[in-house]
Amino acid sequence: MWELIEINKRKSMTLLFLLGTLLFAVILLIVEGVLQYTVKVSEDLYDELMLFGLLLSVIIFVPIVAFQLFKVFRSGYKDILMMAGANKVVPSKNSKVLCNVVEEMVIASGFKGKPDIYIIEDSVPNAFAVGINEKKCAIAVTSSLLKILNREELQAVIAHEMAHLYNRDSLFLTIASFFVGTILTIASSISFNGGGRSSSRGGNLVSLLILIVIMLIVTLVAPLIAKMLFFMTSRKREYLADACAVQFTRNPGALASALTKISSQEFKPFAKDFTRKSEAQMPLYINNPSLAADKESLFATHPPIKKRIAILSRLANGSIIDYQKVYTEECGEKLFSKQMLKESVKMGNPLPPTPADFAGGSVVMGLQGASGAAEAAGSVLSGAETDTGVSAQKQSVFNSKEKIAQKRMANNIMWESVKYSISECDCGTTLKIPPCYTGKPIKCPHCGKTHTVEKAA
Amino acid sequence: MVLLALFLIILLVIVFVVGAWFVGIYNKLVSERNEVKNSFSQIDVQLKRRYDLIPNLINTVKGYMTHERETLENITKLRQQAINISDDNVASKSKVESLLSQSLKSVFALAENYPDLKASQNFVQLQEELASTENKISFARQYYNDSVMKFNTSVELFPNSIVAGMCGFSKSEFFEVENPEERQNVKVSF
Repeated sequence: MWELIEINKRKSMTLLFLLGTLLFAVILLIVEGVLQYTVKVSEDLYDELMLFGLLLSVIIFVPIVAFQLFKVFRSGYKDILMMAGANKVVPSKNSKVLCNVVEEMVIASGFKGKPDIYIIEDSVPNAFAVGINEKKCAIAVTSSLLKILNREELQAVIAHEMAHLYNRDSLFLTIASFFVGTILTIASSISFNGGGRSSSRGGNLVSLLILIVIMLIVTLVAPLIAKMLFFMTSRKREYLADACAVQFTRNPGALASALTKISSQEFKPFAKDFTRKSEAQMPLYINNPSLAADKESLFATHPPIKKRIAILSRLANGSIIDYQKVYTEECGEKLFSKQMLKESVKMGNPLPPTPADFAGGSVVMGLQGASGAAEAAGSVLSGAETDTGVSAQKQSVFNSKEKIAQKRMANNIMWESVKYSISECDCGTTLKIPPCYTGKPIKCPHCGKTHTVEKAA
Repeated sequence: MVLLALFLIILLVIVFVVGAWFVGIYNKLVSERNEVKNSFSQIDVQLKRRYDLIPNLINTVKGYMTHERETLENITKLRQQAINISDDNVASKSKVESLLSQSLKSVFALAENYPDLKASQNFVQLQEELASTENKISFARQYYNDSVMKFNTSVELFPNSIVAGMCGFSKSEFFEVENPEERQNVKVSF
């Protein structure tokens, strides 16, 4: 998991490099175009001028990027928070739960610093995270989010935001959007300037035509590619943050229900206003309320929320591998590359005991129900299993009999939901019959009594 | 002469590459081991926080829960026991701590029967504080176990295992909770 994030960081560097190169190529092309059609010169001089042009574009390019980076590192994230109208939270009686939940997630993610917490007064439930490094970062939630979510769901949302911080997503998106923006501006200025100048100068007609075609392609395709790359990454990162959030909390159910609440219809009327107000920060938010809940789009900042919920609610446990599996089934492609997955297999598939198992208890934490159920859904085995076998794979920690009984009940419900039929033997053993069962007599593994069970529905 | 020089250069390059490789693995192991240590101390911080909160809880609850003296005394005892175990003994520490978790949970369950207590502002705050600490302990434990797993895998994997053996890196212990009931499994397939 932690290696996964490392690889992901490397990949984003590559993508930034790609976008940078694209931008560089565009600048180079302009310089060349300008040179070719504004100055009439000999071959030799032309070559020299080309070299000069190359140097010039480097000289233009590097300071712009450097300046932008400087700006981002200097105060970048505070500006974004200001624009969003966020107010810093000081730990007090009212914000105690929020502060505690953030602290919990800092621990779960092994984060080195502690993000500042901000609240935005708004009636649309949403949250976002910005930051430059682990020391300089912040998480902002809207006041409505705090109202509608329970503690577990809030924890899941904060975990999602924490994952964004962990993956350096806001930094990446800021720089990437700068590249995209620059490409857009340049592309639109080419079609204006380049075209006008070349027609007035004349020259070789064929090469002029070729140039015009290239310009056209650049103006049309480069921004498109840049935008698509940007949005594609933005969407992938949402999935990745979901996957990480599940890994942090080991509680996919809570994130699913939080997303369901956030995307609820009752907030739709305010959505337009909300997105208009904070369009620039939209890729950073946990949900983009103006997008359709179930439609894919190449130019959307977020994946359809229904799909995210669908993946989360099918998750059996909190492992990244599991997320990948379900994601592949839902989307038909892989979220992580083979190499990334290999790293995480190396990490070991059976997860260490979960906090839900450890802490349990609905009285204090209320974490246990969801994870117990999810666990049951996960261990879909080919054969029938006796009761105690269900939680065999995990070292669950329910000391009291009562807790075990409670967990078994939840498990049984889950088994039934995946079409297992459940029957009791006289000795008290519960038999769970898989849907593929053909109707042969079954021996009870404890007392040896033979059962004839009807074929499961 | 030229041949000798060439040979020497190649030898030097090989030594350098092997050295760099060795240093790389060694550094990785060291940083992973430090991560394990660091994450364990994070558990410790939270456990200490719980030790501090427990007397507060007992004081708040004592007045209301007059019939549950035994439970409260038991918690105080467990707390003392947990404090006395040294940090090196991960196995027995985790056992006592999990017992403490269980008994704290039972106090909050019992509190349901005392409406006056539940209405007390002080109690509500303490409950949130302890619930959060309890969560933090388990998340810290989760992270500790993740980093132990990462470190142990590093130590065991082939080229690393040579370096680990030479420099005396040994595997770390998981922070587990014993639970004999859950371990008695009967698994059947047919």
